[in-house]
Amino acid sequence: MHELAIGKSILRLAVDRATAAGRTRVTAIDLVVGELRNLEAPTLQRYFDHISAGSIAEGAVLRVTRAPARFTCATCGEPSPAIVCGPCGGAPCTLVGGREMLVERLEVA
Amino acid sequence: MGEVAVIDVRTEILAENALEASAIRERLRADGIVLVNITASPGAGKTMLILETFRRLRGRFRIGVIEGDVASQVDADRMAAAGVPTVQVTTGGLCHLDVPMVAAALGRLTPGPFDLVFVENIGNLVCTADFDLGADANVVLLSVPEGDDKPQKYPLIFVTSDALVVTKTDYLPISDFDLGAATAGARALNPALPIFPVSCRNGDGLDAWCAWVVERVEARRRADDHG
Ligand SMILES: Nc1nc2c(ncn2[C@@H]2O[C@H](COP(=O)(O)OP(=O)(O)OP(=O)(O)O)[C@@H](O)[C@H]2O)c(=O)[nH]1
Ligand SMILES: [Mg+2]
Ligand SMILES: [Zn+2]
Repeated sequence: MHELAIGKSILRLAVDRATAAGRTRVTAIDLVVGELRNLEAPTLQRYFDHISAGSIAEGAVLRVTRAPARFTCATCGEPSPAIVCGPCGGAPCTLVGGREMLVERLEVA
Repeated sequence: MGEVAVIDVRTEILAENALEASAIRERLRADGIVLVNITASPGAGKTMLILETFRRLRGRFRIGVIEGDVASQVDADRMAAAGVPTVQVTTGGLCHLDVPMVAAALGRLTPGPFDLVFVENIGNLVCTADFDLGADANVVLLSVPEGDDKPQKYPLIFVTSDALVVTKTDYLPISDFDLGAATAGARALNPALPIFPVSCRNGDGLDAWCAWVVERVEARRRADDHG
């Protein structure tokens, strides 16, 4: 159900940016969503299709790229894929990626 | 115009929500209110924990409660029966509270002024994690009957929380819930997460939890005194 609120934010952003650029149609929307986010792409698309009907983004395809969880080591400062540092074994590392949720770009006509 | 083109946007989808959350955070700071957002699965013991915390801290702080519920008024009635100033927010099916709902509820909460306001969020570990309410502290509850694997299954809420309360610890002797496993799972996502095992049935652990809440209010007062 949170996909509905998120879909509305995406729609608003897409319509605003496309209109500001003098465009009359949004055909695709590229999203970057961290893997820690609970977002179901098919559900999001279904809600989006419903709320975008009649707007310039009607029929737009949502393309979701998942961004992996990433950590930075507090001991050596290196990036690490896990809570325990790969390079030096230090723990715990700080989570720096995996929570993002962005509209990356629009395809417009 | 008319030809296909690409527009770079690179904007957080919930940027507007983040702005609203910062605005309410500023307003609460100015009003001297500490807002604590309580999130958990249905039936994890949110209402019970807030009531027990109220009983222990009511002599010290002016405490109010915002009760989020999908449809019913049951929890707000329980709060009112215990003498807690309460405002009910019914989302009408929506799975999470958002900033405008909380802001409106704060406006209706009487009799003020308040030092400490608890929000009982909708019973849900998924949707509530995405929406910053502007709270000073986000607290997630995990009850013993739910199992110790919830941090792996619902990671985001454990990342965005400032404390974990493990509730219903009176069930530990008859459960396979492993407190060490729950702690490890949560700290793998949020290394400095404070964890409070409590039972509202026998009172275990409630003093430590309440001390943490008291410290949040005292820290706010110290910050206010310094500028
Ligand atoms: N044994 C035991 N039962 C508890 C404890 N805390 C709450 N309960 C019981 O668990 C049930 C649910 O508690 P609530 O406080 O209503 O839980 P909640 O999270 O507010 O529930 P919803 O608002 O419906 O999502 C009630 O029957 C409580 O009596 C506890 O520490 N130990
Ligand atoms: Mg409740
Ligand atoms: Zn390291």
